Amino acid sequence: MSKRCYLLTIFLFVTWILHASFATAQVSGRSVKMGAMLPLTGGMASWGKNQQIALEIAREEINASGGIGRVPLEIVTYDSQGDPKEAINVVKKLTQIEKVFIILGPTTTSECEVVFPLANQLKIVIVSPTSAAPGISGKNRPWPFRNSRTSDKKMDPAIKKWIDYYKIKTAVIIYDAKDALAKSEATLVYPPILIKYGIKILDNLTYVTGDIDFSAQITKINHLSPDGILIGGNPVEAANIVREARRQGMKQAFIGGGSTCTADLIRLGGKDVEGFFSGTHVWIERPDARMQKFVKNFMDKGKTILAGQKPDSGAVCIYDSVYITKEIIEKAKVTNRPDDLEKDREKIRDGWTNLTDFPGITGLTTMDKFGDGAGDNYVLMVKNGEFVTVK
Amino acid sequence: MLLQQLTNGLMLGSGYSLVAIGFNLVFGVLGLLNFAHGGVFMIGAYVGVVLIVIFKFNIYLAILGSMVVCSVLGLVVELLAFRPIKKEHHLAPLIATIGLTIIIQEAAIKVFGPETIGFPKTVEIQNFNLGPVRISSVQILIFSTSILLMMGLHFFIKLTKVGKAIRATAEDSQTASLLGVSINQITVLTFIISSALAGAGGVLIGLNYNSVHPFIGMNMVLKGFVIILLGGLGNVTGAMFCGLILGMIEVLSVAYLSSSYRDAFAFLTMLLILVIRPSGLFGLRIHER
Amino acid sequence: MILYIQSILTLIGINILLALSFYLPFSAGMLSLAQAGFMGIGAYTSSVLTTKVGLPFLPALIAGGITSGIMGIIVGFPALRIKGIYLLLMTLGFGETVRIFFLNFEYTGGAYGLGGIKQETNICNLYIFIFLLVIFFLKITRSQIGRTFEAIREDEGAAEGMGINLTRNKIFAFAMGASIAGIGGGFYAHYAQFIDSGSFGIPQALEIMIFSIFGGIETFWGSIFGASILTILPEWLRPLKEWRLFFYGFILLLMMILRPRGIIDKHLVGSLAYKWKSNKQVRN
Repeated sequence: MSKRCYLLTIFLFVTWILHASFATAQVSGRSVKMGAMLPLTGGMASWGKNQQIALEIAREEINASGGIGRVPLEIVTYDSQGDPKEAINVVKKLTQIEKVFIILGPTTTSECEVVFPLANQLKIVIVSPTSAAPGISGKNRPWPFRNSRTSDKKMDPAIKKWIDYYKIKTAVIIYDAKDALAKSEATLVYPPILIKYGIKILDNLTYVTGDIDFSAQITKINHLSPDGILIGGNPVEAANIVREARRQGMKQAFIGGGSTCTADLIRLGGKDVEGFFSGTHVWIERPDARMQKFVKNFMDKGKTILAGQKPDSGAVCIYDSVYITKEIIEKAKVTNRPDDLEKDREKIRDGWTNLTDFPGITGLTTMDKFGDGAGDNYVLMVKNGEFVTVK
Repeated sequence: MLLQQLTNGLMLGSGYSLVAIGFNLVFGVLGLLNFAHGGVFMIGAYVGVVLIVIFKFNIYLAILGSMVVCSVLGLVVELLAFRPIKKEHHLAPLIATIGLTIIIQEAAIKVFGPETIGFPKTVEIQNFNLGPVRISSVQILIFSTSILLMMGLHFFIKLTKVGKAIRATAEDSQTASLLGVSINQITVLTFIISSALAGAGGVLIGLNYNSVHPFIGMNMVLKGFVIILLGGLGNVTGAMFCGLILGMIEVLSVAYLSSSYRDAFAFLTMLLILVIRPSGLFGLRIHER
Repeated sequence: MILYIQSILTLIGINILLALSFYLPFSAGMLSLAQAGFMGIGAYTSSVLTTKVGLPFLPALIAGGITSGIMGIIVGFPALRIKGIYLLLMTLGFGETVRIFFLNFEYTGGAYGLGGIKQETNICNLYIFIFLLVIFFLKITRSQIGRTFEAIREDEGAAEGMGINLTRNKIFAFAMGASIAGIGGGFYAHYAQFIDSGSFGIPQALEIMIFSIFGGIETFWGSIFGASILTILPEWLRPLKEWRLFFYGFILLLMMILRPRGIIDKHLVGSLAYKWKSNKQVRN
């Protein structure tokens, strides 16, 4: 190389080093604090426990590779019990006393409804990894977000493929009348899609969260003899609905909303749920190295005396949310100085608002103008005890 | 379809009855609404799962094992939430059992995890068609076991000397003790029987509905409330029939009305009965405690 | 920090109202697990009035209380003949019916709940109301009405024999309790800014009863104390993380064994009042 080339290379190299260290050294302080509000006790505790494990994995990984901007990550977790009253206290405590940059959570839609207006009052970003009922982020701009996908985005392609695969002409919808998400899926999302594809809806039936006996509903559906059945609700009840149907001799095809598309469905449904369709952005069997590493770590950490647990959508999305926030903090040059708290939080808000094609373990994630997630979705089917994509 | 729905209701109700009887027994004899009954039921289901999965028991042994473990648990409930509290305080034992239920639930979450687990498939499920009605072998097992246990309890109370002592205590504990009945022993026995039944119920219901999680007891206790009111407080036979009736009311209201109102239906029925016939459908005596 | 403490104080205030709403009928011998249902009626009524009709907060709040009170009168009549545990279960049934009604009532949001409620509750209006309520309870306790309630609670038959009008007194206690719960509901709705039927169910009904009984069943101060302590307790126990609820249950159990009539009893209130009075005399 000529002498000038050589000098140029050295000059560029030195500039690059200075820039890199200057950029990351901007994060000061002893730790970067993120907050999390999870239902660690109460009826939603399984969601809370899974998210807690996911947060722990994210934190360990990030700190093992140097932290955020070379400062260790600290995640302050508070139990909100899935109760809106507790949620209010937790948000205020995390924002004002723990002074976190961002709050990940809450899990339930009721809590979101109560806490999202607070996010705007307190000027802090709150990102729910699970809530998917339509409109909640949209009416509370600009501080709250939801790193999930609303049902309309996921279910249109899923229902279309399901209809083609099973040659469906008539359908029955059964949903959880107590759950806001299930109700919106079954009454607002499914019917227009079905009508669009020319499917006749024979009837709408309901059950309630926590039901264990579905014999009445299944007998009724059996009588109607639809080609296919759509479920809006939890994976636990969905699995038992399918089991009861098979028990009563019904061979119809089933499809469920994104919340049914978890390992719980397969674990509880067993052979009965083979062929079950769903649309989701969280595909745990996705052949992606990071996703599989996460699943393996998760199963190791979550063991109880009865079984190892696979992660649910909340765990996966909260894991991604931690990494998204990490990148925002580094890119936007958040300083972590106490005086800059307000400005730093604004930087995080802008980072989330403009999030485009972030490569998470779910695939690519973008925030749309309503503060809801958009990006990769998968149409999945249960085959041999696993979710696989449908061609 | 009506026949099938009635059968569905009967099957559902037999599970309810099994759990409600123990609940009603404790109330009739001791005047205590034992909230922890739900917790014992839930532990019974988990014990069943553990015995089958880890110790490789078959279903009948699992039921037996669960009954044994739950009897012990019932003893603990009596020792902690009932015995230390003097009789004149009506509400303190209720709240104590609520506290104990919370402890039992949290313990279950710690040991087994908060997620819902399925019941291991031990019984080969065969389906039988009796005319227009379809029943599974599991449902027959539950129904027959429930009826057997309930008949057993019924005859025990009616025919044996101990049974007579229990009835005497329920009628009037002061007079009973004057006549030589050891109230302490009867109390302990009542708790043991009630908890054993709850344990059996837990295994059977867990087996049939394939959903075991730390909160399954809560719903059962509520059904228990409705059943003991319907059946007449303290009336064990009444509780048995009313469990079946409640199962049928629930199934029919879901089948022919709307499931969102199902729980409301059960409560409205209860309210109506209370207003029209405060002693319950089968109650012959009015207990005032 | 300030907002957090304000939050806790607001929650304490609302829970005090609810605990007192349980205590009033209880002091006349009526065990009601319907207070969560009445709270819901008050919450929904006042919220609909402020969000859809445009009424200002205070009138809407009172209207919510009155609506609950009227429901209390309606439920109170069949409840007259029913005693003890029966009443407990009947009121539980009523509360559940209310919850399921709101779960399905589309006008107030149904399963989606009712949101967009303005933040109106603050320490000021809440605690002024509590102050007025305390005076109300003090007056009742020391007056004829208080003695009447006690007589009814001890022995209804004897009370009736002495000429006490059971119907009027019991309905009064029950309906007043219902309206206080309704007002508590109105305050809650305008604090959380969103309500759904899940906030007014059996766990809440039990929680309200526990406030009162844990705190002390002999005087109304017990309910105030119980509500305050049991609201703060989960916050204190936060460092215990997942063991929080476990300890909560443990404390309940322990307290019922050690002090079955609740923590505050007449003795304690009496001796505190005596100390206060004698200090006053010494200072004079």
